[in-house]
Amino acid sequence: MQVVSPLVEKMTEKRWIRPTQGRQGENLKSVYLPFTTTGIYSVLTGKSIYFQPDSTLTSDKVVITGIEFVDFTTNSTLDTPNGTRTNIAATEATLGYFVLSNSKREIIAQIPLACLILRLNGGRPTFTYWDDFQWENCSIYFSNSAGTSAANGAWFKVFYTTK
Amino acid sequence: MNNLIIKRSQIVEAVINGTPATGVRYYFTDIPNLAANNLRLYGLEGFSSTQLATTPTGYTTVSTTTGIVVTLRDTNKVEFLYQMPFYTTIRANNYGAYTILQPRTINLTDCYVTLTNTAGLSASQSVAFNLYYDLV
Repeated sequence: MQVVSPLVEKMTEKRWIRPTQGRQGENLKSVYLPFTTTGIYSVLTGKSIYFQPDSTLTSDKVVITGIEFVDFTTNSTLDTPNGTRTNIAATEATLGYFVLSNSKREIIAQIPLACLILRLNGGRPTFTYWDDFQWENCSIYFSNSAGTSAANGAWFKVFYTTK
Repeated sequence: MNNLIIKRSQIVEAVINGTPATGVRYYFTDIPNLAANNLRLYGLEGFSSTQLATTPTGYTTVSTTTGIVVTLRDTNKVEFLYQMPFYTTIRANNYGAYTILQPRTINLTDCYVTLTNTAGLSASQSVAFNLYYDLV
């Protein structure tokens, strides 16, 4: 018999907490932002770099259940349709934010990139429950872009379940 | 063991105004969005410069984390989290575990940090957190 406190039961039911085990049954999509010197992917201090529309990551189809940021130590490079890029180091990630928005451009969550790096958090995954979002309104930005260039790119692992 | 699920988050900060001093309450900067009555705060995460170099408002975050404690008060002025070490709220210091709270509505401008040791701290540095909440 498992004894569960009423508080834990309520918080689990509200989807505020969940067991720390792995991500059984969840799907994964890797999303890349290949930085460039000009255009929508150019990195400038304070400039939002938006994700492209994604036919999978739409809130009428899926719930985003987790997100991770892949840094240089985790995987040095990433291959994108725009060519190979070097992943951002953890020190540069402390200057960046991931911003989740909905269709009204309301900011739902704003999380420092470094907090989404799995290896820096004891391997414990970052859980989310985002069922109202507009992926192309989501973005990243850097409070200081000095250490980031067109040779870099950002790699996110987005975990989701279908509705 | 359970860990927190992020539904909504808001970065908040208490700025060290003037020369850092022990015994002084440095109150959190107001975020009107967090004053909603239907808001339930259920977790938080502290940020040092290892996680976040600069806050969205442009303040540099603290790099020394061992001389800071945080107190949170709810809308009934109850100090439901009293002088919790800031170091403990940093997820990376807890093998990835977030600080999970009994859900409640807070009064952010009543919440504050105090310093138990000013070594390594400077004026205009920010003690920053992400607050995790939901609308009910």
